[in-house]
Amino acid sequence: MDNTTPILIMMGLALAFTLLVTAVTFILGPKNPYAKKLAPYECGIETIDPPRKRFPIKYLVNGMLFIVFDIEAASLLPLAVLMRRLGVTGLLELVTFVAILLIAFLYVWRKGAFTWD
Amino acid sequence: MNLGQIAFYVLGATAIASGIGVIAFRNAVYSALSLILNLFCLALFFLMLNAIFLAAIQVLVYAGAIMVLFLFVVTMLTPEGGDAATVDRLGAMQRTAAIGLGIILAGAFGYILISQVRLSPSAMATGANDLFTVMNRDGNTEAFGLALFHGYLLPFEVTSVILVAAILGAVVLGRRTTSGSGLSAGSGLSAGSGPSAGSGPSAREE
Amino acid sequence: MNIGFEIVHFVVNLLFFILLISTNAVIMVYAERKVMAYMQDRIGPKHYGPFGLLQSTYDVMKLLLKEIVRSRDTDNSVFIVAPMIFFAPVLTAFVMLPFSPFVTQSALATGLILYVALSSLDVIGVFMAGWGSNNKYALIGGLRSTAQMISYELPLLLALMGPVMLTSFVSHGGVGSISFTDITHAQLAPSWRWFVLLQPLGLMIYYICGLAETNRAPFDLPEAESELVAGYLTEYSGMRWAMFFLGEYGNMLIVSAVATVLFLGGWSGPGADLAFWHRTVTANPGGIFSVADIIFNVIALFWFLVKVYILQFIFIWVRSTLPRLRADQLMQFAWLILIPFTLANILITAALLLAVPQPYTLWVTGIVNFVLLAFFIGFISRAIGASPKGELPPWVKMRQQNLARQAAISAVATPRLAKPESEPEMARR
Repeated sequence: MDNTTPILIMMGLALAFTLLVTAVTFILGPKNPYAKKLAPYECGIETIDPPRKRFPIKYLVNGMLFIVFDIEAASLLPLAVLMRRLGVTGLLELVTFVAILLIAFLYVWRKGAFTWD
Repeated sequence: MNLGQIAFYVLGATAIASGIGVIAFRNAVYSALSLILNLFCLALFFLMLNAIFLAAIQVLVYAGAIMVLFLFVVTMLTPEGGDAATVDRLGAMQRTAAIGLGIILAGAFGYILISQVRLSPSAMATGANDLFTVMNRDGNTEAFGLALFHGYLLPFEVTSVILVAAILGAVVLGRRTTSGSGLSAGSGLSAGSGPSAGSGPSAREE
Repeated sequence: MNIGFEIVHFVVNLLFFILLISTNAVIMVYAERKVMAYMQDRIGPKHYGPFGLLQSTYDVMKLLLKEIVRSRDTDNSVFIVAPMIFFAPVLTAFVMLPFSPFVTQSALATGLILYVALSSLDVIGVFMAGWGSNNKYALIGGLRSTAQMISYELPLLLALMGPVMLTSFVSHGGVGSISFTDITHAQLAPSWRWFVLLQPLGLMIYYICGLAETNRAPFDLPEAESELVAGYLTEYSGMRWAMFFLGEYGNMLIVSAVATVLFLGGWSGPGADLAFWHRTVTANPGGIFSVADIIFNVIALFWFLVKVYILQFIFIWVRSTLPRLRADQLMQFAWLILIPFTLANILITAALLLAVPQPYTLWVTGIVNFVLLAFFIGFISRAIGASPKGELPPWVKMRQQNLARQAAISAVATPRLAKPESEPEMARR
């Protein structure tokens, strides 16, 4: 068995496990629904407004920055693996790459992307 | 038909179904979730080609990062339908463009299928020919790293500049002009609202 | 390796993983309640079984017997699929972890990055739970949780860069590895070269990010009871809720296990030495499996689990010690403190490893890293001590102070020049 097959098998088994356990409770548990029980939770009062309105996301810029830095981190990983073989060249590449992104990071910080009200 | 082929066809069917789901669902969140499934299937294809590093990056960057941003944006949209007039106005143009691009894509795929163009085995999973031996000896990550930091160093560093441009774009798009205080006060940019906040009814405060 | 052995190997490991993830939750719930109770001078669960040991077992049985409630407004498919999406990556991540040389299902060459990728899939499950519930608390909790998890994923990934770099310097070929098994082996050669001694700052930051990734206190904002009821879990009950619960405790286990593998030497420890057991116990020449192998694997597994549970104990300890952070503090902590520190750590470690000549390389790296750790702790305690809302970067504050000072000087200076000195005199009269 190679190294990737168990991962796929495990993924399938995990899904099967959740289905199985839910099925067990479906068989064992009581089934007694009524209107009050099925009402969405709202601290004991009637829901007056559907939740799915336009919703400002406070973290949108963070989401965008995350993509950028995620790509950065992911591409630093092979560099870390090869650090010794690449030697000083690798270090210079690392410094250049991080420095360019750091400038952007400082700019964004200066613009207040990490400030919330 | 061996196990790998069965897995390939199952995955292929899932990928196509989820791809259709992306464009067929009326609900934007369903579309985004289908796209996640589609990208995940793509990662599994990479996994089957033994490009494990690429598969992980695919999941990490696309399914993990970009789709989360999509979901963020989708929650900011109006949930049902949206602006009907805008949809109609864009509709005809988009449909024409989509048909044109679709024909080009189908032509490209058809050409590949008919002319039997094959990738040389040495180009498999890394895209650089002499790296195949490295991949076999040391593994995916090393081959990937060597290609990135030895073979394609300049493009890689240019990538960081592109990423900087992306950051600046994010800041410009994410900017919300608050009343009164300017940027010097440090509250000019709040991460609150996205590009859609400028048009249409103002977003409800949390 | 014959196929029979492979199958036995696979089945044993699989059972081990599933048993571990379910018993771990039961043990941890009990341990958490009991430990926190003693830390707060209470007794904790005591009624069922000796010392209340059966408490969480009964809890599980209760969960199995509960009714499946799905609120009227939920988005059915998303709501039902969300627990699976949350739970599946957790169980899958177990496959890659080397618990002991035998209990390692997949010695994947890219285990580390795949682990991070899988943990990023959890975010989707959380979002789906929050959105599918169609409930305000769930939606806000889900979005908060999503933002928190993605923000802390960055320093987590960057903090793991240190051990990977170390493997490249420790190995003979000059090529490092991101395979969990290889990283464990890199720490074995002289038995005490655990990477925590070389990268204590890495472990610290990784552990903090682990706390945030698993939504544990002090980063448990998404589940802040006082504001958000139960966050994205508000509408979930019974076994569907338990799936999230299992996933969360499984996540804790994985975070601890990865920390163990990367920083604490994996399954190494006193007695975990295969050659020694082969010498002392007569090896069974016929089968694949000798007595020495079994003893060795049991000891290795023991050490691994001991380390994991010590780290999980710290999870509980932190929870009963630290108060919850505010939302903006939480994000600022990730972006303004952890990410700069991890980047600095990577650069400094790389530079030191390349610059310092051979016999002293690891010594110098380790000592400098301990100094960095001390600096980090000092920095955090100062930052936490005074962190007003809307903190600006220091140089901006300095510039603003300068501007204010100049304005004050000119404000003082201008009236003296422009206005006649009649006003004070008038006032005196």
